[in-house]
Amino acid sequence: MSGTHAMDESTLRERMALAVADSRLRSSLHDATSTLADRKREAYGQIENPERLRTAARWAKSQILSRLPEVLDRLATNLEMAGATVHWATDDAEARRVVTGIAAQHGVRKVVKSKSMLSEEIGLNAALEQTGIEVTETDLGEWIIQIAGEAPSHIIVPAVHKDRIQVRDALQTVADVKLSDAPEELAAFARATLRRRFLEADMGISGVNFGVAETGTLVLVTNEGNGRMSTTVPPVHVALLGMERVVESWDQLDIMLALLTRAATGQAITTYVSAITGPRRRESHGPDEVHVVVVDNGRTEILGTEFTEMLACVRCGACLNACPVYAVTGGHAYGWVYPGPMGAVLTPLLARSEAAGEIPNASSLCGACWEACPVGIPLQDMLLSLRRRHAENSSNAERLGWAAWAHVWAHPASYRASLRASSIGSKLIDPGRIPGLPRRWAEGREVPDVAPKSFRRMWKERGQ
Amino acid sequence: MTTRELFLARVTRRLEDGIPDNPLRPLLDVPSDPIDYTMDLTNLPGVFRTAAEAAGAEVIDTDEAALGAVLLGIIERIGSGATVALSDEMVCNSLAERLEDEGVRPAPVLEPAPLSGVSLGVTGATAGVALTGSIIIDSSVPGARVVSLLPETHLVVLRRSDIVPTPGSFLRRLGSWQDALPSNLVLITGPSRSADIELQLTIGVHGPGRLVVALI
Repeated sequence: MSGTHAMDESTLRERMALAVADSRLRSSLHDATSTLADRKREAYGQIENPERLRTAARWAKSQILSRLPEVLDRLATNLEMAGATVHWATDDAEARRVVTGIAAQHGVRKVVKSKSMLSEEIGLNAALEQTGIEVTETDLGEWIIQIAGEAPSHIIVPAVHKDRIQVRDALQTVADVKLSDAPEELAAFARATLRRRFLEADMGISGVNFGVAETGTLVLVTNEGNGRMSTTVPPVHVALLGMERVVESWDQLDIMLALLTRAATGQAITTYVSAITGPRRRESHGPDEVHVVVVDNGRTEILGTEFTEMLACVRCGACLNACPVYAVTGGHAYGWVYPGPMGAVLTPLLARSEAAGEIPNASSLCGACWEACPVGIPLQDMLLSLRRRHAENSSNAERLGWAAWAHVWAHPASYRASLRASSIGSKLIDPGRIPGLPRRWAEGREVPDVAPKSFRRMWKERGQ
Repeated sequence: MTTRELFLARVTRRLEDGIPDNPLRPLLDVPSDPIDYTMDLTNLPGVFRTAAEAAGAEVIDTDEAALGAVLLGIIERIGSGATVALSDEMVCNSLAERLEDEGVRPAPVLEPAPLSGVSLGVTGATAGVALTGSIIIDSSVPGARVVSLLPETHLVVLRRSDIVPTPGSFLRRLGSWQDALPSNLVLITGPSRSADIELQLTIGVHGPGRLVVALI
C-alpha cells in the first residue's frame, strides 16, 4: 500500500446503510458502548470535582500546544540524554521509511507490535510486510482483526464489532486444535501463541500514550501486558509518538492519566502503566536500543487553526461510547482509521481524500461527545464548522435548492402554500425520484409525514 | 539545519499568529494541582488492600519473619513441578536462601525464553499506591523487569511503610529524579486482563495471571 491508510471508496451513506442493517452489529455495539459509558460514570465518582479536573486538563493541553516546539525540543533532548535515538517524520511516507530503515539495519525478520492507532494511520504493517518482515499484532483485539484482515472499529476495543462466535471463527483459522467460543479459552490460546512470537521477535513496536518532556520518559498504558512484553523482550524497541501526544511535567501526567483510564474503560488505573526512559543502562534486562519516531503527518496543519484543540485528544474513546451515531453504525462506517466524533473531526483534517469531507455529517451535533471528553474538546463546534466548510464546496444544485427553500419560508403566503403542498406531497413523493434533485443527496432520505392540516389552520378553526 | 531543527521550525511558524479562541467555550486557567479524591485515605494499608483486591490481586498481611512460610505456601498451591525465579534484591535473597534450605532451587534469571516457563516470579516493590492498589517495580533492581512479567504468578513483597496515598504522590516526584530514573518503572495493578471479547473480563492474557502481594 502506498500513501496514508487509504480512505474507503464507498460513500458514507452506503457504509451507514450497511452497518445499520446488521442487527448483530447493532446489538454488540449497544451493549459495549453503554457498558463503557456506565463504567466511566462510576469511575469519575472517585474524583471530588471531575469538572474542575477536566478544565485543568484542557488548560494544561492548551498551554502545551501553544509552546509545542519548546516542549518537543525538551523531550528530544532528555530522550537523547537517556540514550534513546529520536527520529523526526513529517509525513507517513517518512515515518514508514524510518521504521523500515531501523528494521533493515538490524536485519529484523520478526516484529511484535503493541496497539498503536498511529501505526494504522501511517499504514506501517503493510510497509514492513512488503520488505518481507512478519508483523504480529499482540493486543488481543488487534490480533483478532489482523487475522480477520479487518481494520479496528473502536480505538480502545478494536474488535468490538465481533461477537465471541465471530472471534472464535477468526482465531480458528490459525489454530491447530478446535477452539470453543469461551473468551477465557480464546485468550489462553492467544497467550500461548503470542508468547512464542514475543520470544522470537527481533524488534518491538509500540505507540506512546504520553511523552513526558521534563525527563524524556515515554508512558504506555495497557491492560494485557503486551505493551510491557513488546518493549521489554525484543532487543530493539521502536516507539511511534504523535507529535502532540506530549506533556511537559509529571504533574500534568498525573491528571491526564487519571482522566484517560477512567474515561476509556472506567478503571482508576490500567493494569500496567509503564514509564520508559531510554534503553537499559547497566541494567539486567530491557532493550539495547530505543528509537522514538516523532510523527507529524498533517498535525502541524491543524495547529494554529480553529481545530487546534483536536490535538489535545488523548485517544480514550469516550466520545465513541457517548455518540448516538457511533452506537448504531460502529467504526467501519466512518471509512478511515479514527471513528466516532473524534474521527469525524480528524478524518477531514488528516486523511488526504476528497471523500473525507462528508464524514462530519455522521453526527447529530447533540454535544454528548463534548460532555464525555475528558479534556473538554468542543467536538460539536468543530463538527459544525467542518460541515459548513464542506457545504461551501458543495454542488450549485444543492445550494440553489436551500436558497429557494429559505426564500419560500421567509414569506408568509408562500410558506402557507408550501405547507398545503407538502401535506399532499409527502404521501406521494419519494425524494430519490424527484427530477432535478441530485441523486447523491436524495438517496436514503425520507420525506417526513406532514399532517393534513397545519397547526395554524387547526387553531383558526377552533377559534371559530 | 538538522531534521529536528527543520521539523521544529515548521511547527514554530504555524504558531506565529497564536491559536484562535473558541468564543463559545473559553479556556479557564485551572492549574494541574494534586487531585482531590472522594475516598478516605488515612489508613493506607487498608485502602491498598481493598483497591488491590478489587483489581483481582490477592493480598496477604504478614511480616518479614513469616515471608518464607508465605512463599512455601504459594509454591505448594501451585503444585508439583513448581519453578521459582527471584529478582536480585535483599528481601528476595533471604527468601532464596530459605528455598534452598527446603531443597527448592530457584531458576536463573538470565534469558527471557527459559524464564517464560517458570511458574512463580518473586520481587520486591519500590512503592505501593493505596488509592489504586498498585505496586511499582524498578528496572534497576536486577531481574525485576522480567521476573515481574514472564512467569504465570507474580509474588511481590511490599513494605507497608512504602505505600503512598495516590498515583500522583509517586508520579509527581519523578520530575526531580532526572538522571536517577531507571529505564523502566511500571505501576502494576492486579493480574493481566483483557476485555477485548464482548467486554468480558478475561484474566492472564500476556502478563501474570495471578498477582499476590505480601504486605510486611
